[in-house]
Amino acid sequence: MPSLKSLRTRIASVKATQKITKAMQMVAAAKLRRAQMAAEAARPYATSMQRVLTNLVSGVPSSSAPPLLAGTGSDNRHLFVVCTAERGLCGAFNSSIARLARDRANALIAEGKSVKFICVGKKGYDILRRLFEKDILEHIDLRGVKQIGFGNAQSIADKVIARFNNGEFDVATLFYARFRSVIQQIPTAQRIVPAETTPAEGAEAPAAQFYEFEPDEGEILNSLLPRNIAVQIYRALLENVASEMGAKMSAMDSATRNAGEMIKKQTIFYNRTRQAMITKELIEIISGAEAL
Amino acid sequence: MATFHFELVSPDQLLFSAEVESVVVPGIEGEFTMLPDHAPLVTSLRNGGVILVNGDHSTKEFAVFGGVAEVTNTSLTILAERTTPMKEVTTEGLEKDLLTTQTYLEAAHNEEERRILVEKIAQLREFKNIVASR
Repeated sequence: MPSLKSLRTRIASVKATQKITKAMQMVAAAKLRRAQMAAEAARPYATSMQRVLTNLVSGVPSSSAPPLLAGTGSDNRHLFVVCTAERGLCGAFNSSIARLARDRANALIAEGKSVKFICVGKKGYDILRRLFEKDILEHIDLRGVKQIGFGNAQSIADKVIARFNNGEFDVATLFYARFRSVIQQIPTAQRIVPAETTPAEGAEAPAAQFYEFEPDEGEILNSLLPRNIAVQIYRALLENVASEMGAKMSAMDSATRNAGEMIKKQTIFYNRTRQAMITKELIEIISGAEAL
Repeated sequence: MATFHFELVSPDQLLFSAEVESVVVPGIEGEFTMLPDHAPLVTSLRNGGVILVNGDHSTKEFAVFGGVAEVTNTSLTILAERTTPMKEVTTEGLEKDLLTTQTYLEAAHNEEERRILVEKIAQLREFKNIVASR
């Protein structure tokens, strides 16, 4: 039978753990609210950008479209930009994104295509490194970044575009988790090169407008397309932060609940053991007295 | 007087969204004032000031640094790369922007990049002069 002291320390340690998970849950809840606000603030720009782009594209003949829009004409070399969190303790968040990327990559490789990776965030990098060590081109670390700004997304986009201009890949796909609710985050794959120009879900189809362009369509398109990639990455990063915090919140919530159950069970066990000991001592005293 | 809807957005926030009477837009091929029922137009922007007149005749000024404006019959949307209220723009801040752009220029890889940056520097200088002369 375990000693009473060891039982007491075990209960105390579970209680301490529960306090930590509880605190982490509350921190995640506060951060989630901020992340949602940031995502909300970034939405008007992204939707307007999408609208302008869709209008522009309909006015440009596909033969003269720049490669960022029309593609390179083949789809043999893929680039995956996998966005995950820097920290763990958030349930299946990181592994579900990495799994989606891995499954896609394996399917493409089976078709005889090549896949390279750019990892944003440490966790996804750690998982993918085990499988695709030599295919990982870059690992972008956002650990020191408190609040993700447009600049972070811009620098990632610049790297992607530079590689595209060097002819290193044909198709780029962005992986992140879309935020649905605190308990539901959906790992998502989104093509960013060549650009997808179908209007986003929920947005009404733009009415056909006959615009004038200053300077011409081509030049505006050339300056907007790289920007659009940055915007898409920015949105993905913000959604990811919200998803991460949501996942962390529910993971820490269930951890707190589990700890509570454990404390209850152990306290009962502790009390039973204590009573058994008292009973045992009493029996010893009584039988000792009877023997006299 | 008739009004139209004006939105000024930058990547991380929506700065202004309301009905206005007129807006001065720093288009790449010259400033223009937008009034209701303007012909649909998409234009790149240079660095400069956006001056808008609210429905109650009060004015507001923003500085935008590059971007695109989308004009339809009933609305104007400015997608700015970066934007701040005009009051917060100082010659010192612009001077700093100039310096960073110049360092980019020195590190530029090809003719195309260099051409864009030279253009940008010229715009910044011009904008600085405008701000300084106030």
